[in-house]
Amino acid sequence: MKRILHTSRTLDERIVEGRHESGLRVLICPKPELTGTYALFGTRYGSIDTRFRRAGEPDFADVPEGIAHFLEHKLFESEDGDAFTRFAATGASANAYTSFDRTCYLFFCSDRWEENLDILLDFVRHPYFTEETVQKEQGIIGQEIRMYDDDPGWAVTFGLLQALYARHPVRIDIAGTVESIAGIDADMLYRCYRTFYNPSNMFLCVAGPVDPDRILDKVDALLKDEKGVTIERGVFEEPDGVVTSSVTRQMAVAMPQFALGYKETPDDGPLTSLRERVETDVLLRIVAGRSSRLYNDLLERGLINDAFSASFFTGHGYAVTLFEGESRDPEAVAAALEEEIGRLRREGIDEEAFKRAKNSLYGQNVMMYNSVERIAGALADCAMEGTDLFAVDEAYRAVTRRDLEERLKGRFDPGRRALSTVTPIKE
Amino acid sequence: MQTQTLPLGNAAEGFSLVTPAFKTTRVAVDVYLPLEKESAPAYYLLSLLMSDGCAAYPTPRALTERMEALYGASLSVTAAKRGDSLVLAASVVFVDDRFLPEPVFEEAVALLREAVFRPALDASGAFCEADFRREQRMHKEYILGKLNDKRGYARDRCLALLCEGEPYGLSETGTLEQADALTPAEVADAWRRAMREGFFRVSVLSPVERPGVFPAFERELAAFDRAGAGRPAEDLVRPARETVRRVDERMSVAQGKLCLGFRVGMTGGDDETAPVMVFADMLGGGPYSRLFLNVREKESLCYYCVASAVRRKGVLMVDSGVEFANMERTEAAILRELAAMRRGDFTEEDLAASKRALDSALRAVCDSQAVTDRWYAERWFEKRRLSPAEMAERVKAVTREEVVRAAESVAPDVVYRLLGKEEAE
Repeated sequence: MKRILHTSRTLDERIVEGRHESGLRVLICPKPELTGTYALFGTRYGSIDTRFRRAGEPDFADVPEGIAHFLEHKLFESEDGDAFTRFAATGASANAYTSFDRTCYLFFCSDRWEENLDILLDFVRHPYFTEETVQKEQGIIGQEIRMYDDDPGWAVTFGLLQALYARHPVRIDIAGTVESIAGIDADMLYRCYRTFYNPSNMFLCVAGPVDPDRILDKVDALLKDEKGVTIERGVFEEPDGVVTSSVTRQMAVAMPQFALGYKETPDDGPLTSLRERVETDVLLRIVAGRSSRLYNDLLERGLINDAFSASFFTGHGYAVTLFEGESRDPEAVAAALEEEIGRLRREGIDEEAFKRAKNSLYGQNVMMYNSVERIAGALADCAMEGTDLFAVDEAYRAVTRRDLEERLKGRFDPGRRALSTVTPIKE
Repeated sequence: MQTQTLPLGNAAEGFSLVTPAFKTTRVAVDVYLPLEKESAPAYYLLSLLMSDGCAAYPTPRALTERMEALYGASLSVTAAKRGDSLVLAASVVFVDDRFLPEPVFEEAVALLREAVFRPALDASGAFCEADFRREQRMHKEYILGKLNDKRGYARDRCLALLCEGEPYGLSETGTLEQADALTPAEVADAWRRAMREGFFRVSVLSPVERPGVFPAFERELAAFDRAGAGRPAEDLVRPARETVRRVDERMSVAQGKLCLGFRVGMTGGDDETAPVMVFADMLGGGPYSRLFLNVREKESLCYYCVASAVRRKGVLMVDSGVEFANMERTEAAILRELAAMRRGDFTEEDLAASKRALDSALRAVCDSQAVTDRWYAERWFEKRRLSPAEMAERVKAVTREEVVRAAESVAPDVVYRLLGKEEAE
């Protein structure tokens, strides 16, 4: 395996990277000064991957919504007991999550990291499903779905995604529906597994008091004969425009919620570049961050509270500039936002605001290195993006005010905007 | 890790810990106050006002700009329950000077002192009307917003029933009516009362020794008449009710919430609570626990079913999200697992698994400045202030008999259920 050392003198940190012939990428941040180790073994496979084939297969497969998440649940089981039991023997705390574009398995431990890493690499690489165990899981995931059905934050976000996207599967719920998961069987799970849980599509990220060489040796030994696989992901002809500009739902809440989104087109799609992501992040801080004119104006006018946030939500084939919060008048929030965008386009970005945004982003980046969990998460983002952590720092440093003013021109098209709201049930 | 405690005048103490592993410094001020129904909402609104401005940086915007200029320093002020006390907690976390082009240490600590000791009051000594209205609105919206999180809402309701009549059963935010009735003068009075009567704990967790922080706080405190300040009252512990109280509530929800509230007979400091910790973890901690393995995995009844004990209050709660039709079955399944633990119907490996998981979690406490600070703050008034490592030793020593005794001491007290609208009994 090819081994590369990245160092940052400013941050006094180093990252050891391993690139295996199979395509697996390993990213390790040694933290000898800390006690805990956080490791994450992930695959580029999430809820949006509903249509795919392996190179050489004649047809694309269309699989039920929620199957990536279902597979995540089932992977903890094996013929001789489940992975949780194995982690219980070491004291590690294990978990997993599925998002739109990835599935990650992880553990945190205060000792025996090597043993835990062996368990992690082993259980994720050894699927075992039977019709009986698949059926049992339907009840558990059914209750997980029900739990989200009562979550207004979840409802308002998916309301927005369904208003913005007509075909792209980012519009479907990560866990699927009670009906869609009823159609999942062991054969389908194996087909998804064989396609996506291949080293060429996976990454391993570790932060903690570990020995990087031992990890890379271990991976080398495990993957001796593994060959990469080429995955073809289904393309969804997504129109430029939105499905509908406004969507609303009533729920048992007392405080109305909103999500306002602009459908964006990445510079050179389908994936957003690091530069684009970083520029948008700095830009959003200046447009709608806590010290922005907009945020403070909305606060004084009683239109938002401190639950308000702005973010850039992006992955394979989708990109949304997203504003979320609680408000009695979300339309007024949208109007104020567009007015402010217009002003910034005319007057340009304030030099002081730009400097403060960069300084505080730098400080927050330094703070990240206090936490093995946050480091491992950031390494996973790098693996997904094909970048490295210090390149991200560099990208933040390189942003200029000019870049942001350029970026502002191509964003926030009112014609590609949608507003989703959740309001209290009228009795 | 060498912790240090030093006196800072009447009812005020400093705590310091050198933490070379981190790239940040954390300086925090905890003001311990009595948790009372009448005063809690004023303290809560006070915390909102303090986190959004002070005399030197009077608007949310001015304060945020200041934090950004200090390379993303984060100032926070909250008011939250800690046992039967209410704690007004202010803190600042900022990057260590080693990683910055210019030093910020002195200025960041000064910002915390400004936030705590010099709020933005007008000439009459009250909060400014406009600031007050803005934060009062957010206070009320926060109270309304609690209903948005159904699990949190159900847990709060169960806890309120479980600790009815005790300070811990109160909500720190108060009711909508209480928040609405507050005035700018009343909240300013709450600030003065906190400065005069509260017990102050000032903590510094930094990569290098920073002894200069404490004298500055001591000088600030000397400006107030603190003759009436003192330690908070001991936490109340009461036995379970004779008959279990059952409360059902109905709402338009897709999933029901079941919360079982218990009283635990074994309470006290860390010396006595280690068996309760192990028992609660074995019952409903990680994925190796009885509730996970049986109620979730075997019976497929729920996605989560978790047991959590509140230290020193002698309170334990089990909560789960379940189909309305399965409420009774789930309740019976949970009680069955408790009964099994009382009978000692568990293996040595079950016991060892929980002890290992707790050991791992306890050893990781020192990996976060905030968690370490919180650890010592929680134990500030105990006879023996155990370190996480000492607590880990206690946990390791817990025997099967002690776990059974802890299980036997647990008595059901409240059953709270959140049910759907259409559901007919």
